[in-house]
Amino acid sequence: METCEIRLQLGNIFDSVFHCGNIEITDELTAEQVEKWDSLTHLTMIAAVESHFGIRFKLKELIIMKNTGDLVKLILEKKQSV
Amino acid sequence: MSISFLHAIFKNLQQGGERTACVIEDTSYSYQELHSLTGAIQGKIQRTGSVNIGVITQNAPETYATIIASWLTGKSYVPIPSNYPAERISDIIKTAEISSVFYAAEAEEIDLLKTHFSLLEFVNSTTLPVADCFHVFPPEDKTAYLLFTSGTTGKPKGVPITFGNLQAFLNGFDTLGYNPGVEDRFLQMFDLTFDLSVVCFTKPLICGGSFHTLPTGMIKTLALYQVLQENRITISLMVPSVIGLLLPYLEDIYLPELRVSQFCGEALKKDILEKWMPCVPNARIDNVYGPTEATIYCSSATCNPGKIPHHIGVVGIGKPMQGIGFLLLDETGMVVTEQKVEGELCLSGGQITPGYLRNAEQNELKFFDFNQIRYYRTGDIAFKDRSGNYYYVGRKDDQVKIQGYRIELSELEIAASRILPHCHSIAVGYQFADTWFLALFIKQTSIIESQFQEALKPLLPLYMRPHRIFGVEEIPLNANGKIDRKALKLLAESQHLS
Repeated sequence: METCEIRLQLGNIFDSVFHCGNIEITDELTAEQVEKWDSLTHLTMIAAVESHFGIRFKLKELIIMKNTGDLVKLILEKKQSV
Repeated sequence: MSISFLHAIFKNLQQGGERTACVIEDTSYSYQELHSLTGAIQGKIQRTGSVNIGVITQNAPETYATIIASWLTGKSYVPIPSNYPAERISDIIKTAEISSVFYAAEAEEIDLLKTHFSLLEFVNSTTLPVADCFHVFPPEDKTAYLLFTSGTTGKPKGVPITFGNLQAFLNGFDTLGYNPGVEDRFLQMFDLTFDLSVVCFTKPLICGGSFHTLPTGMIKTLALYQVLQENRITISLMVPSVIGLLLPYLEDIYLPELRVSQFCGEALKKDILEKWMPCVPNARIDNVYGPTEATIYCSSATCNPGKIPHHIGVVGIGKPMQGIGFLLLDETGMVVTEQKVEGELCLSGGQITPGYLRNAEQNELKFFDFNQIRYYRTGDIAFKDRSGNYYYVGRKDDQVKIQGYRIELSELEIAASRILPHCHSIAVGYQFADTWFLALFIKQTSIIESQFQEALKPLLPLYMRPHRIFGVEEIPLNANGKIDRKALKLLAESQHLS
């Protein structure tokens, strides 16, 4: 799975969780830039990502994740190790 | 009643020296540093005319020093989040007759506020002189803090809590048997507009321990885990929904140093608590309960593995704390004396607010005398078991709690009607993945969710805005011709991720 494909699929997940119209998925995108991105929706989004990609994150991995680029990288690593 | 807690804080500020008083944004501040900040801010507070001091709720030592400085000067504080709509801040400032609002750090939101208000005053350690603090003894009926909660009429209600109310709470706290001391590290995860924050920073300063806030710029639930783990927190007070959110990751959490784990602010589910217990093997776990009007919390239930008091999976709220009276009233206003019979929970005692600020109508509705004792009607429905433990079963009205925040659904509906005056709208609370959310249904199918969210921004704080907005052809009615909120809840649950 390629980075751009992951971004595309993340875009759909973000739309369904944050309901903010079209969000442009960039590596620098963080919770501060999306109003509805808070504790509640963040963990809903993470659960949706886990279920969609068939992967499982550890709490420590979620803590060091600083932006969407980190999330994409982590999904890629997990998908490759499956 | 003597207001001894203020003197204890004053003594610790004076004598605490290099001991850590608080850890904010990963930086430790000693009692000596907090003492100096408090003294310098007291000088500014003394020069302000009003008795209520506005405090912008920033995560900074100066914010807490402003609160302590207000108290030691015999004044009260009113927390004001900088991201509230200007109209709401204006309401608060007018109702509380505030003439000075202190803020600790420059920020974009502060610049915006400056365009609306001229009474903002900057207090930052870089510009404040080194100063000693002093201490007056306020009378017990003087207000210590004034919080604004969601109001059914669309205007926030001011709840003043006096120094006497707070002292009564702290006296009750001392009988719970936690015995906090200088070695204790308290979690402070709450926004300062939330009254649970008060015990989280006050009690450590009274016993000479420290409080630890959550770093900003991080997802709150993840920041919470980081602070609990890295700062080796020993006493925590949390809303149950944070554990609900961490549920898939609880096996990664192990906090052997946590010795008191309290929950408050929402109904606590037994199955979630059972999953939390192995994470905190050495903690006493208490479910505490109480509305803002009765000062922080006023009852407590201790939960042990295999012995969790509960009613259909919701953990009980326990017995009233020392000095608190519980009374249940049935629908006709008669006192419920039988066990396991439901009634509206009414509270009495030294922790009860003197009444809403300039709101005679609500005071008439919510407070009453019975056998010459003054009671507050909570709107919570509860019952008592044969051991005298109480159990919360639901609300009498349409109030919901989202992550511990009280929201009157009518306040959201009133805001919606200001945008679309001729459209019927209904707000409901609903659950998704064990967490509460808010939805707004509007009788107009052409509604564009993102546009309506934008329109709500200047009217409501973020926590009161709905997670989902749906345009519908008809608002469904039940067999009695009333709005079918159950159907709307189910609809919101099924459409949550649509």
